[in-house]
Amino acid sequence: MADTNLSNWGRWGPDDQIGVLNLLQGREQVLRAFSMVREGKIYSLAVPLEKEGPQMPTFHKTWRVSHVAERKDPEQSVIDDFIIMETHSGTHIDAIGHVWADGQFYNGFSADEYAGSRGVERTGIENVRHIVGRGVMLDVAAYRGVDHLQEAEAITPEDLDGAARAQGITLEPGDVVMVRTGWYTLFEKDRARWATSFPGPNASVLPWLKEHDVCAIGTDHPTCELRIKVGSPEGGLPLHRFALRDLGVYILENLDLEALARDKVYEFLFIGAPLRLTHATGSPWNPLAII
Amino acid sequence: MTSENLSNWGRWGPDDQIGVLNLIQNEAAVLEAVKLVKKGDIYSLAVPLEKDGPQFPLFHKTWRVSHWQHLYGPELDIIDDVIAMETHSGTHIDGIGHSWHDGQLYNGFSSDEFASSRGVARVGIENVKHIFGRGVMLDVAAHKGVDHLDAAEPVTAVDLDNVAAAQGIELKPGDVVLVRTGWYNLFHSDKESWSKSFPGPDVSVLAWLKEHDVVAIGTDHPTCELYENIEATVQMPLHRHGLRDLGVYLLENLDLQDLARDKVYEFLFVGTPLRITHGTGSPWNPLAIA
Repeated sequence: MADTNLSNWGRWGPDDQIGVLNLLQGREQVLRAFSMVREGKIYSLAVPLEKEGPQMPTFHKTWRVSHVAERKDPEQSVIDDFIIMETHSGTHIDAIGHVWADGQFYNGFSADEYAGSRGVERTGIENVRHIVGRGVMLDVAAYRGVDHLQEAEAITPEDLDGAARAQGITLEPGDVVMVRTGWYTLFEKDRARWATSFPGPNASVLPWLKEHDVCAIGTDHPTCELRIKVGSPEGGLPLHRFALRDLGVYILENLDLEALARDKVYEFLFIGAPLRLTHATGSPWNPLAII
Repeated sequence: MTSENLSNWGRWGPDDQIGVLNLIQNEAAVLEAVKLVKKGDIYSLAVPLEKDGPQFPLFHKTWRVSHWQHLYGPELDIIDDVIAMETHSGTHIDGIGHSWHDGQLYNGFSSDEFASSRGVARVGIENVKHIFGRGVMLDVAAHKGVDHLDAAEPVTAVDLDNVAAAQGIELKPGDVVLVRTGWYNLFHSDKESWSKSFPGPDVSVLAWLKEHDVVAIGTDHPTCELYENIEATVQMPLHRHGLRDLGVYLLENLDLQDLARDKVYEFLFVGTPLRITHGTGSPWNPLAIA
């Protein structure tokens, strides 16, 4: 069982499959989120989706090949593509069914019963028709006055609260919180270094997520976790373990937050629409921040 | 070369790669579109993306397999998926580089130079960061009082005008126009008939798209064309001229059932293609927000 202080199991009933996203389902919430659009400026938060794009270094690749169908009379060519990819490639959302422990998914669904090579028949990504709500970007790198955090550097609630205060942001229930570590700035400059470890939120952030009723948390690198050494289990994956499974909080990975940081945009309408992949554990996507 | 009247080549300069989307890529257009959100209702227009979902019958499939790993200390099981799919599977957008003839893509880009198994190095889907603007749904099936149009029944420019008038909708430059044929009803009730042919916009619609400066046109089936016979060679004028000559996007396999049920004909349309470098299209989950 989950620690009751850090659990949302049962909060939206025994059949709930969408977790904290329940807080964003009303018309009022939608209208409130749209009221933040004042300038008419749109930012895409997606990185390029390609074989050499920023993806989890150990295994996530995207392959694409295009094929042309030609015909005569009249002459006409149509070109299509075939892609083979991890659903957790590039910029993507983790479904809350992406992990389980002790034989149970979020809300107690049985892993034996509902998970297999056919995917996850409960809490799969097809339950997330859209995430439309208030987005908040906490620029921890800028708050600390650095280009990027260091290898294996932890982000704690003090960092998040400090950055929020410095930016004049007050968290609200249902927020989609994006944490900028600056690590993406290393991707082009020093890919070998980029791929060895990731700075990020550690386990201390979990009560903070619960306290603020955060709907989703994301970072500008592939794990949304503090990864001490890629390929090593050291430190575990507390956000995957507890945020997804116990809290029903979504995890967003490989966000491009550079333009938001440049323009000092910290609060916006967030619109994310996962592919409707039946029983899948996540989805590549192209979320937008709109001001 | 294209007929001058039915071409947007050069209209936004020789380097333009996004076609009519240029009309709504400004802050005033975004703010105007946001005003359409009045009730706070959100509709997802995506069909299920799965092996047996509604996809082009001849070859578009989506395969997915999931794989899991068990970690120790602390224990955790992680499950991921691998998908293998056509980018034109399920609900998707055709990039304007999806079709060419006479050696030229939209705006005159050379197909010899820019199109190959590497994809399209010009007018690829990565140029479409988002389609965010006014959406209009023209329910042709409801207007004709039928569950769905007949097999190989054309939708003409006159039909579209009549439906718009009946729905009280006036087209504006930069609209995303979604045409409901009702054909998706057949997918569940008679998949065999569903897959043999598609009713849809005929060649008369091209001039209508140009006249109204439509950014994108979509249907509730896999081709966004009148497709008389899946086994035969058909003309595909919207692919041939809509994409390539006009720079108008095609949206396929939309689920317009909820919009039809609620009689929602005008809304904010938000579509976000995957940022697939040099891709010819992308699966997506567009939203209608009213």
